[in-house]
Amino acid sequence: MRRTLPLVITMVTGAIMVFRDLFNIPEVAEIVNRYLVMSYTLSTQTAVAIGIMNLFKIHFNRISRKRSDWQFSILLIGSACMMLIMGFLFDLGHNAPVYNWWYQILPVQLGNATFALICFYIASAAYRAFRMRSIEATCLLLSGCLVMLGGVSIGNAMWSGFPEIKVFIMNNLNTAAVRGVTLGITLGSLAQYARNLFGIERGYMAE
Amino acid sequence: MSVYSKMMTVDVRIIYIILAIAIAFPLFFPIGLPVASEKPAEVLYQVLHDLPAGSPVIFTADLSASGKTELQPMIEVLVDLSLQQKHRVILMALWAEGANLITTWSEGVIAERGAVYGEDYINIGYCPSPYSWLENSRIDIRNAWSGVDYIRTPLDNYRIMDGINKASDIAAVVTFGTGDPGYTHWMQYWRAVGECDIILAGQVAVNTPNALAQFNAGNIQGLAGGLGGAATLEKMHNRIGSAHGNSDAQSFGHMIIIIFIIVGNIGYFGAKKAGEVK
Repeated sequence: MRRTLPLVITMVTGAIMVFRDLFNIPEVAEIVNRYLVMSYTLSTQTAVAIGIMNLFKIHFNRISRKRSDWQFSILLIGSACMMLIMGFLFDLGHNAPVYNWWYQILPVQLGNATFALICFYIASAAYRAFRMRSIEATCLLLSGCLVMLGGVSIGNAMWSGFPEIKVFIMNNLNTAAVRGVTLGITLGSLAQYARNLFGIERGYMAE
Repeated sequence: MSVYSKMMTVDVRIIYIILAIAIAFPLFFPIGLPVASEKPAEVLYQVLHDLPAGSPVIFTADLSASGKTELQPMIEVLVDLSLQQKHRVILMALWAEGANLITTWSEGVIAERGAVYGEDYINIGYCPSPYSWLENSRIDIRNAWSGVDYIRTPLDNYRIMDGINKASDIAAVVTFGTGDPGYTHWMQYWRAVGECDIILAGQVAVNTPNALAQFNAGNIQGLAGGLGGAATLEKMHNRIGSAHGNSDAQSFGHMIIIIFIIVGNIGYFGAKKAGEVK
């Protein structure tokens, strides 16, 4: 039963979704959306709740056993509780001005700072990795530098041809490569979908 | 150690310091370098501009705070444009973070235009479980999630929602994104099934190569990518703002990276000639 039931659920729900999209009957679509698709919302929110409980459990354990960097766990639990309590306490929940103020001064600023730091790592990595060791590496380096110059105002100020070269690279070389990759991913997804639908792939059951 | 070897192994701290100075300098002393217009961003602006007055337009923040530098100027310009063109502006988010961010980032232009809540614009907030929302909104957009706006008032109470019942009633979607779910999902769930013909995307620079392929294929009808796209929108809207100011810093940052790449390669070839590296 533990193995058969999830397989049956997957096959039946998958078949219903395929039927809905293939035949496009409004009445069927409405019933499917109202019950089946909504159940997806409920299951994802349940997963979030379980995730939060798991996070708390792990960090409470870390604090109680004083494992390395346990002080950060206090910070994490404290911050999470503060935002949770504010969400529950204030009228409008996460849209309350006080909640929003805390959100703007902490996560937003920290997120920006973290993202901005990537610039330094990219600079350091580009300096060390971009060497003209082969023809392929040279092509990569040249196209990278041309796109970088064409994408910024100083490149345009130096020579108006840089933006045009960038557009050529992006529209022709980049688009072709992206389409190839996308096609490959799509075919792979279809194959994976069929494997799930027919019960060949059972990885999601932790087998 | 020879000069060439030293050129190949510059201390990372020196790179960081030079880069930090190069980026910070134009932020304090703006230079105002001319910005080259980007065609996909021009198309985006024009498509939105040409929508008739009264068209319902969704602005969705499918983003995190990390996209602030590139996406905030886009949101300011495009929400302002829509209010100017008398579109019905609907703000929302498929990402939990996005709800707060689009509210904060658009409140300045909304106040400047004197837009009235519930008549000129509405904010339906965060719509959890994006796949379900996108599916359900094709049948009933008001009740695809909670049926209320971000201040928990039923959507039926607002005049702006008159005649907006399902996805096909929406004239255009403008999605600002830093990742998934984002423009690809609007494309798949709304455009591909013929619900909404116009999907416009404002994306951070790292998403732009993929989004450009979709723009070239006609799957999205306009694309503003990165700071260049944001600066193009500012230029077209005659509203020079932070995208232009930050473009100078980005320019200097890129130049420093290119200079270090050149230095590294000179060192590599010199050292190779001297037999120090294979």
